[in-house]
Amino acid sequence: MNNDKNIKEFLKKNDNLVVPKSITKGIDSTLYEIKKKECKKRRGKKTLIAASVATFIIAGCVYNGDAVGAAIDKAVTKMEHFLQYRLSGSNLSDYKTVIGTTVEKKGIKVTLNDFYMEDERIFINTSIDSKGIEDYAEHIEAQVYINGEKVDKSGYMEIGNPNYEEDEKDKENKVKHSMRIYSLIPGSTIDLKNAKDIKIIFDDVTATKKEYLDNPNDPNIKASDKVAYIRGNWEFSFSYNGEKVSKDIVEYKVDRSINIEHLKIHVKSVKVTPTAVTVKFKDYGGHVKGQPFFDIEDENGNIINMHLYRHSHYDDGYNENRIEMNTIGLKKIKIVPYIDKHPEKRYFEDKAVTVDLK
Amino acid sequence: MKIKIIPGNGKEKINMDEVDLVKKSKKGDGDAFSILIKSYEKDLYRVAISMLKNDDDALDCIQDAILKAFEKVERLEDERYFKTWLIKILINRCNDALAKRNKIVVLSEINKGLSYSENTEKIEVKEFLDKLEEDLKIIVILYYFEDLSVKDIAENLNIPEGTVKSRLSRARNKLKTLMNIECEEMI
Repeated sequence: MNNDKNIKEFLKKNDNLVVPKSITKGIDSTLYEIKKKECKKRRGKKTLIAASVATFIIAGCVYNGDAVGAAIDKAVTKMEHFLQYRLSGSNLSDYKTVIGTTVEKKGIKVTLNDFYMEDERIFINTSIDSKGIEDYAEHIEAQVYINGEKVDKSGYMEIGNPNYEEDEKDKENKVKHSMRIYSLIPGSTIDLKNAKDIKIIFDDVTATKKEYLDNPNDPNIKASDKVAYIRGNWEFSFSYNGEKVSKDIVEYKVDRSINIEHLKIHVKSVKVTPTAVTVKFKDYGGHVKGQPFFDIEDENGNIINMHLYRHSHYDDGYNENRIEMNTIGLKKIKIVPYIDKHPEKRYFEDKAVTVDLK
Repeated sequence: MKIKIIPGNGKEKINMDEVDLVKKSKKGDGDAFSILIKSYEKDLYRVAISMLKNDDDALDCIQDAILKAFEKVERLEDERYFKTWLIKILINRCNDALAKRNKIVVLSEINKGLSYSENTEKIEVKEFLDKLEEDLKIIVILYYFEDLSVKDIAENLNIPEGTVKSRLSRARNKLKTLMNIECEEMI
């Protein structure tokens, strides 16, 4: 009915409902629990994954315990641990800033371990020690200021300890190691060469309440008894030198069309940063018979993807696949298109695009 | 030297095809499932708060519905109806919670009636919905915001289809009044 269509459009256009922060955090907390359970299940697939781990795959699970060994020690405070760079032997030491200082407020000790920035993303690695309070502080929100100016962020990905057993042990000790990768608003960039003075204010801690920790299966515990929100000001200031990373972020023009099955794909460019490869492309032919994605291989033909994010339509109609991976030391990458049509993936090695890295 | 942050145009959205996300969720991909749930966060809250009237209970039911959805998503036959399916799970959970409360929801506090003539400022949709009678409000939300069919609403709220239709009709008249006011203000 046309009337209904108009009403629907009117209501949605004028919708001013705001979801309270407590609801958002509660939902986030539930999703976090789901991911933990999911990763616990995956541990049974260790052998299967281990075969490909030699070529560096994470399978998109931030708590994946398959890939790391027992000897963790102080490595847990390094961001390479969360990115699982130990598997490839390289690190971000040329790019990141190691901080290692601790600020204690409201009984919570926050340690900023290390920090790294690319033009569109900010990596913040922290340890939270909540032995001084009853609850278990697990997540912390950061406000980032560069040269005195607050950075507008669009979202973040939080990576917990990749070793599940260790994460559980940390919980018993009321310590939480994690790293957040904040994304800027799409279209925004950081002028890395001139980003000298960094200030990070951690202002919002989300903690699991003691009542819930003690009785996680008690159905009578209400949502408000599960999570506590602690506002505060854990502040860190330090200098940063982004010149090296600025030089090493390169966008390569490709401008090549590929025909695979029902799809015509135009790959416009490939952007390479130390932690990711982003393929900018446009595809024609519809997604009914499958959607195009890309795997990245190194010069030896090893797949080196970590985690894929497909995101953003831009004004010029191009999509971007950002593929998380360690590009340090790579001389050449091969971008292999595949069509993902559940439950199968069809790869097209012969249509791969090779990019020589500077 | 100041950093250069160029504002985005605000048009960008997560573009992973929803059906693809649902398929990934069916395979147990927690990341894909999280993206889906986050994209429906507002819908979940709108339905839960309209039925339960307080944030604590709403969050309890939303959390339960999310967990149940993740557990059962594997069995969802048609990926295109994920949202409807999710909302139905939530409604069932809210119905259970209401049954357990074992008390009548006091409507008089919420049902203050509409007073367009007294309000010369822009009428916001949320405020309008808050002033709507309870029996109309949930139907307006499920029908217009959550795209549930009359049949689905009837089944999930356990009322006859005819009742849903008549309530929708009453709600439509009130909504038209609201829309007319909006149009006049634009002149």
